[in-house]
Amino acid sequence: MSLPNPGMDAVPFTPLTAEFLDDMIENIESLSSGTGFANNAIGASKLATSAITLGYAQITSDFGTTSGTAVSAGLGVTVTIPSGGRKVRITAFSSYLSSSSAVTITDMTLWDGTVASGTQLALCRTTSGGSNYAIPGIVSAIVTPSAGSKTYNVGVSNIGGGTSTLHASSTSPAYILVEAI
Amino acid sequence: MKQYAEHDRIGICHALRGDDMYTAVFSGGYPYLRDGMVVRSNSKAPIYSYGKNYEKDGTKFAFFIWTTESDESKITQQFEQSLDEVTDQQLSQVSGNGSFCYIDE
Repeated sequence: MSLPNPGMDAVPFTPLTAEFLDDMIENIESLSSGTGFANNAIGASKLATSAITLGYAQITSDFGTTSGTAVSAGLGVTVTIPSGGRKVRITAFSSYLSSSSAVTITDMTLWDGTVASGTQLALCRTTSGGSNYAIPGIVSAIVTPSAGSKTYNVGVSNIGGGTSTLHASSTSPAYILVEAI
Repeated sequence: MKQYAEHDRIGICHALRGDDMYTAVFSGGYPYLRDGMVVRSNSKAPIYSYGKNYEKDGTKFAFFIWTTESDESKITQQFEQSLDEVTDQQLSQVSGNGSFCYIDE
């Protein structure tokens, strides 16, 4: 127990002395500041659902592009960053990336804001050894944004010809997940 | 309404938060009833309050007493000897927080 005055008790007729009340108030204040909680006292069910997961979005259809510049895969999410300076992890996943051409680079990128004109946060580069080789796509970034609204998007680009595809289906959605960690 | 603690009268109340013997001492003018008269504790004759959890017929409760006795072991003995005197009706009477009764009532 981490209360500053643990084990406070009283029997009938115990007077509420100034000392007793001060100790009680000190305990309450420690709960308000967070220092009074015992380690592991707060179970998952007591956390707000938005305490960790700030946002999630998914697509269930393939997205393909021939563009050498990153274009939006239609996979993005707008979240509200809480105050307090917690780190935020953004993860985007696709079961696989592929290209219709051999020896082609497919980039899966993560953007703060609009794809291509926003700020690129991370990149996952795959180079296909042959046409339609399947290479898992996962890109992740850790950032410490200011409190407020933020939009994160996933981009895809193709270098070398053919069509690059970020794959998604109903049984294996591609997703973007934003977590306060 | 019982306004004052009564000297050497054992009561029961809702179980305390801790299972150890609760002890507090008041030496600075704490008023209590002794032989029907209101008296006040002082540094030469402080008043002690004790409380301890017990269980009877599956119900947890606490004995308490206000006394000038400073020997905790004597109080424990008194509590244990009083266990048989506690009735089901008294236990149900003190099941809520803040309720209490004397076992000789």
